[in-house]
Amino acid sequence: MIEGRKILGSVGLGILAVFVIVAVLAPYIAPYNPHQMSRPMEHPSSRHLLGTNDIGNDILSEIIYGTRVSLFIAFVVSAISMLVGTSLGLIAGYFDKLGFVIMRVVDIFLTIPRLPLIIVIAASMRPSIWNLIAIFLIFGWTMTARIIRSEVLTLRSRYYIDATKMIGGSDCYILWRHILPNVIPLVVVQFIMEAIHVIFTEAGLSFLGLGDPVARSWGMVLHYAFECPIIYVSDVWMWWMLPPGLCIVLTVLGLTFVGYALEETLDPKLKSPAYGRGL
Amino acid sequence: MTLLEISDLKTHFPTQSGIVRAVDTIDLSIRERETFGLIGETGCGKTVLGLTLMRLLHPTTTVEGTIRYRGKNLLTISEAEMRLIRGEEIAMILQNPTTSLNPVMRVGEQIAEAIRLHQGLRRRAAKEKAVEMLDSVRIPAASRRANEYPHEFSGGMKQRAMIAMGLACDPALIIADEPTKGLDVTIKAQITELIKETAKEKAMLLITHDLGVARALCDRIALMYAGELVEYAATEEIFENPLHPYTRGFLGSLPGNGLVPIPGMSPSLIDLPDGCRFHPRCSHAKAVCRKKHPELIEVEAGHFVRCFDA
Amino acid sequence: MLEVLGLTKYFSSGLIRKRYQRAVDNVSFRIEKGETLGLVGESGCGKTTIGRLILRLIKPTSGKVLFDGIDLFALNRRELLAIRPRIQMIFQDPDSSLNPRMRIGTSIAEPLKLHGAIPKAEREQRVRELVETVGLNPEHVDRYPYQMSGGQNQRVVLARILAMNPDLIIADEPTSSLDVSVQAQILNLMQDMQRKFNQTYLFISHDLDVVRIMADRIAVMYLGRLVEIGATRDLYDHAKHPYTQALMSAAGMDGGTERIILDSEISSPADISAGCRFHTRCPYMNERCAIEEPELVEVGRDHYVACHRV
Ligand SMILES: Nc1ncnc2c1ncn2[C@@H]1O[C@H](COP(=O)(O)OP(=O)(O)OP(=O)(O)O)[C@@H](O)[C@H]1O
Ligand SMILES: Nc1ncnc2c1ncn2[C@@H]1O[C@H](COP(=O)(O)OP(=O)(O)OP(=O)(O)O)[C@@H](O)[C@H]1O
Ligand code: SF4
Ligand SMILES: [Mg+2]
Ligand SMILES: [Mg+2]
Repeated sequence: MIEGRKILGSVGLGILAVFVIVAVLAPYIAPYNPHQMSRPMEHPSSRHLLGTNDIGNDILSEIIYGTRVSLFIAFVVSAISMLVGTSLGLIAGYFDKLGFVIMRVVDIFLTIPRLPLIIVIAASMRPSIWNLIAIFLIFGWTMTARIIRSEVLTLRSRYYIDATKMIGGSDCYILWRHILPNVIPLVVVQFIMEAIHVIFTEAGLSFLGLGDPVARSWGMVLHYAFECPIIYVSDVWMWWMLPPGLCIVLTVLGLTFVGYALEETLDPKLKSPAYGRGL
Repeated sequence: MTLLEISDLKTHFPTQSGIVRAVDTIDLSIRERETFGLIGETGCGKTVLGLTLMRLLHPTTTVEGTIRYRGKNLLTISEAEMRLIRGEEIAMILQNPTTSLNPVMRVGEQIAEAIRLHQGLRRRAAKEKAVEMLDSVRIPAASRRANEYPHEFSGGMKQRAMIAMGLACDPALIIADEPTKGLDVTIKAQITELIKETAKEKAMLLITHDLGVARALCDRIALMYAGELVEYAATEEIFENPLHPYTRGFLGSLPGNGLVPIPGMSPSLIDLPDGCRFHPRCSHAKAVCRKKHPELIEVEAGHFVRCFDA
Repeated sequence: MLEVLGLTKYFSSGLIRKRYQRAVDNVSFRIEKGETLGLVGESGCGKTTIGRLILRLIKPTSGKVLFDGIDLFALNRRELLAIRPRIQMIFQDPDSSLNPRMRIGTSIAEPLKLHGAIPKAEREQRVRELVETVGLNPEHVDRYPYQMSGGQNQRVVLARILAMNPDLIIADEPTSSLDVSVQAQILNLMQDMQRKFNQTYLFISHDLDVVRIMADRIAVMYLGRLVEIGATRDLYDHAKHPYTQALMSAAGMDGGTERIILDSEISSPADISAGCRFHTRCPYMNERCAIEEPELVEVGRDHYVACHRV
């Protein structure tokens, strides 16, 4: 069980590491500038390992640069969402009155169907990376805030919070020193969940043509592939659609594996002998 | 008939400062329908022994020896088999109710869950059984209380909820870790009665600090000191004719006898004393006690003591 | 030193149809400086709640608490933060009184760190002393709470509180997880500290033998109400309230005087009917008891009872 988790975790970490390296070193790895045009619709060859698309861009280079875009969006959105969501969750869980207000706002956000609204907003804005990030951020923090808040509420029912109050710890001190460290594992897991969500949704939006046409993500590559009628009647999909699709699936898989492995190391409940699994 | 036979059991925890020998060579057997009391100083390894039997310790712990339960060695069977045994065959009532109850789940639901998992009852029936169990441990207005969360319970009520959960699964062997802690005398008497009633058809390993409860419930009692058993015998024999100096000191420090603790401190389990583990605190210690580790010997029929002086 | 006046706490539950749990109802008592007041009563009768109210960890429904003449409920945040270190509570459940992610040493050092800038070396020295005072080994300092036994954690909590050297200690079953020998050691320690620093104790316990040794006066609670309060001797020898009498007779678990068994159903705080709260179980109940709630009346020097019979 434990060994299994470790192996999966290392595999996941390996996958993610490869993608991150590719993203960072894109200009050095990619054989061409993704916007450089040559003969369109070339089949894979030694010159173009994955051929070229309908306007003559090298597909491999497109995907390599796409890694940058996809990961960048996922990372920025998850990081900011976590920061905001965790702060608000901590405050909402610890201070009852403020918490009431914050949670009503969260409730409103959570009752709105997320995906349709994202599509509507994305469609009404000029497509660009920053707009996409902004759209994801509108919703990104809500789930985290709610989860962190409920965790803080249960932590507050533990006596050690009271015990710290008693020895004269201020609210800020308690939040920082006693509550935050205990919710960090949740935050990390939420970060991974959010990243998975953003990768998928971004791919979906781009696929619908709502992504940034200049900084093309994996989803955008897929979008252009689907717009090209030839794709349905020839082998072209094998090098134009399959690779970006695989990239998306692999990233999500890598994230999932890492999340699964972290659950073990981060959760002291799983470490302590009998917590909650006694009977 | 022997139900559970433990031989040569060792449970060691690797830590930064060294290996903690929490359970260090224990041999003992529990018969069918017997209530076996385990008494000993705090930190001597009672809970760890219980958790070892349930295989609930962290995987980095080293466990050696054999635990035979109805012929099966619990230390070598697969996790899947162990899961079947846990709850269904052996249940443990854990020592710390607050950290063992799930804070975000209603108390009734938690008990019902345990019942559903092990007895295949339907949701409704399990819920009813849970309420019934809460009622039997004297939770007032049990049907309403079942819908409350653990933090709405008082300390003693949480403790009783744990007992209800342990008894609900109807196991063959119950390991009860200080089940009567935090209960007032009247409720304690009732719970003791309830446990006695239940224990008639079951075997039980009762870990407790309450000598009154141990005396009322147990058929045999063992005293544990620094990871090993130092004396065991039939209950009355232990109280009437204690032979090990530790047992005597223990009985002498009952609050009714004033406040006379056993002198000295409990030893570090990382760095156990040579010879008899009790010798630094023992008023009868002789030269041999400092050098040789005494064996558990049968001094009278069924009365075992680990002491050169006995 | 501490004066509690008409303290009341109703817990509400249910969103639409609100129900109230009268956990503490109009309780008044006072404790002199250097005195120990024992607080006993059935599990779930509101003892812990009183402690939490005095510390202002929960809001009271009504009532007043005067500490050294200061009205605790009238303090603002800053004043409260300043006075809190003088009042400490040892919580009932040691395992959840410690941060699971904090090493034992860090936990004990925390109060020292929060108050006064003691240099690190001195602080560590102090922690080592405290660890020894409560009978733990130096090796425990680097452990996490889950690596400790129940009784060891209980002593860690005590060490933390001794580090604060408070004026008032509310001890909620401070020795429930300890064996009799270590219990004797810890109780001796508490008595020594009390004499040395003239500390005041509110001592909550279910162990009547312990209360008898520790307390100067005893208060008995039943379902949120104070039913009897008086000097320890008076309560043990001349208990007036039927509940106290039952409690005291149940104290000798192993025989002696014949005990009155309180067998009838326990009513819960939420559905307390009019009249004396004990009348459903009282052997001496008459019509008046079911209608009119008895007030505390003085029956002897400093001895008050709430019962129509006296
Ligand atoms: N995970 C662990 N890592 C290291 N040491 C441990 C661990 N768990 C327990 N110990 C140590 O093993 C010893 C036995 O602990 P155990 O919990 O069995 O004591 P106990 O007899 O149940 O005491 P109590 O009556 O206080 O509950 C203790 O000294 C404890 O510090
Ligand atoms: N946060 C809460 N919300 C709702 N009800 C509560 C809460 N805390 C306590 N209660 C209820 O108040 C009553 C008194 O509880 P309290 O913890 O004070 O009992 P106690 O006298 O300390 O009992 P014990 O000896 O079992 O610890 C109980 O019925 C309990 O269920
Ligand atoms: S008042 Fe009446 S019911 Fe209450 S304890 Fe006294 S005699 Fe019993
Ligand atoms: Mg234990
Ligand atoms: Mg309590």
